[in-house]
Amino acid sequence: MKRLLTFTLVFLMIAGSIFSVKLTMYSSDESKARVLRQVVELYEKDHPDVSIEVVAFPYANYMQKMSLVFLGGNPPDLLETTATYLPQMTQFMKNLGPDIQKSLGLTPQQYKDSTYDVVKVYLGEGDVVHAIPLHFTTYSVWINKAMFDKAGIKYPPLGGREEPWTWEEFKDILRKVKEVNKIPYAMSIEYSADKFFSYLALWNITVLDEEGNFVMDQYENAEKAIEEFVNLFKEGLVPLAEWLSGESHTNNFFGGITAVDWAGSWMSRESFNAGKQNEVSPAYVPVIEDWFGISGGGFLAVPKTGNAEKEKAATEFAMWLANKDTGYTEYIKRSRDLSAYKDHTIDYGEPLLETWAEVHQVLAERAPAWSTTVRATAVWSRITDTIRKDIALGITGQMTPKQMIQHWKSEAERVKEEL
Amino acid sequence: MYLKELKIVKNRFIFTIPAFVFHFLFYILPIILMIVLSFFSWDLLSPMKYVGLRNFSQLMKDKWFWNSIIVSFKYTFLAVPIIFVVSLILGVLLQEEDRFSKIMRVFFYWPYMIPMVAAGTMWKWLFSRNFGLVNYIITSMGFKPVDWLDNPTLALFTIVLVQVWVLAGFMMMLFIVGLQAIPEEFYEAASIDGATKFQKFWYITLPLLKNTNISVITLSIANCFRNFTIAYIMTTGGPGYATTVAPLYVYQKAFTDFRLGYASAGSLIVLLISFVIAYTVRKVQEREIEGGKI
Repeated sequence: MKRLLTFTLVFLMIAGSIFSVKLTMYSSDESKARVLRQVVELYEKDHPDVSIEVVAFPYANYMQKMSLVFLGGNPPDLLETTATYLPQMTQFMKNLGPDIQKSLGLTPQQYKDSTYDVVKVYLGEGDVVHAIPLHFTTYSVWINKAMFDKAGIKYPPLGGREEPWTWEEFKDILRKVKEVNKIPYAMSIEYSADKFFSYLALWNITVLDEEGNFVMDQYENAEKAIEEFVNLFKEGLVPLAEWLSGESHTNNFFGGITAVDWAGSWMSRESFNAGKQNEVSPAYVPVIEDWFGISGGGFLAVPKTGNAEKEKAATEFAMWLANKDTGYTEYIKRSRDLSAYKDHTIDYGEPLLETWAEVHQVLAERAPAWSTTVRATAVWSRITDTIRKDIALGITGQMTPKQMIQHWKSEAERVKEEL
Repeated sequence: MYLKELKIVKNRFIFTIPAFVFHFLFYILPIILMIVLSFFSWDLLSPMKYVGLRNFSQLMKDKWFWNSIIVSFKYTFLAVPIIFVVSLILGVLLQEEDRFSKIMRVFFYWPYMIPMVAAGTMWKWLFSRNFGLVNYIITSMGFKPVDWLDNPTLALFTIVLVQVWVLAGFMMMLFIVGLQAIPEEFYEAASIDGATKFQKFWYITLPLLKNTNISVITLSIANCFRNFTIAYIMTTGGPGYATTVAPLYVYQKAFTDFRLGYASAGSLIVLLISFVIAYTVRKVQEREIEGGKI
């Protein structure tokens, strides 16, 4: 009897490992991968026949890795990516439209309409659904509460002020908070073209139109907007090292080198990870011509691998994660991000997160559609490196705003032609 | 006799096959592919498009590509003399076979054994403007922090320092081998003639080290001109393009901008420049030998 039991157990273990489907998921960031691993664990409990390994890549090299992976014909079974990179990879993704209809009982259009517009533009046209949304992000400025209190500065909307600061007020505040707290700089901004765009959009200026044509040179105050941005560095309000040698904006902000971080909703997760959630707060971006937070998001796609069994298992996982009643709510609670679906109230179990989510909701809802659609083009994701590099040259006085605009125009035209 | 020679040739041929295959697959073939690719436009994900000489004509007008070549030359000509002097001094000081010299040799050789990525990351942190140990020491002495990696001129010098730190120990070992090969009698004779230490170094050591000198210089030039990792890790080529050396520029064109054809054309030009440098160094070496100076 003992032998039979042992034999059966061994047989089941071997059979289990042989017949279970092993999937690989690539993620664009270790902190997101950590959340995805937790959700995968939940899924695996209910689906013992499936095992998913989540592999994280550094975000800076993510697109390079993915390009080589697709070129080598060995894509992962599941792919977590961001709004910046999804447009370049849609040709390799399975159309999830029919599966959504079957699993969720929604037509692809109904499903897409259930998500926020800022997310919807990335999902695909017509009945095509390239990916399911994981969350959406929006920009805000994060402030160090103690430093602002010390300087006697009120901040909107959680720090005793209703209206956003004007641009001039904002610059004065940066100067004051730096002086009163005796810190070397006032504000952090990550070395990223999207961060620059989130500022530029407040001038109601865009770099490209929705077809990927360069239009920035048509705005009268484009040069002034660049100059103002560059001056933040020249005046010593933003650490040069963040744009000149890749110093981490989160290290500077959480480390007390700066009092403000021009970042976004994802800082909720970062602040909890750093254990600084009670020391910081999101605030509205300043008003220049307008005030809003440009949006982006995270997505999960099922690449075409040619392996029917794995594609099926991967699609089932994606559908589980697309369903608010099953995986999605579990994911969003753990990621501490904003839900990609309209009318989806999340009980984060953290009152702070709910308050912060309301601030970001206001900023996201004010954002005009163009602030998202113009970045959902392959041209934008190909010229982002040129943009940030040229701004770095501007900071060191090697390039004027006029030269930058001319250079970006020629690069955008070249990329458009090549595409 | 003829058959025996034929057999030797055949054996030699057979034994060189693995090396030849390796060399072909990993050196010759990539170069051929690179030449072919330089006539195409390709972003890894879309189909390749033949563009003729367009990549080359664009490169000719690309000021940042030529800037990267200049940065590579600056980097090389700044690093090589420092590596030479530092490693020669270390070699002279540590040539004795006593315990202290042996321990110190390990100490100075150790950086060469550290992976470049790890070395670059470590120094990036040490030279960090706001969190680095170097600036911490400087500010705790009452001075202002230094923009090691944020000042375009200083950034190049900083990565050169790291290159020296990595290579000097290895070059020191070459010098020690060269120094130990110099017969002791020369120094004894010089002492009898009343030569000072400096005179012995200048008239005996340095001339007899000529072979080693050329090896050190050649290897240093090769290492510095092809340097990629230190610049990539420490500055990613910044501030702006101040430390964008040619291999890094080509890499960024290929894997950041996804212009594989353009990057291949750039690589080809860098390769040709490297050939010219290698040829020049070799000619100088031959001239020295033919002139009976060695």
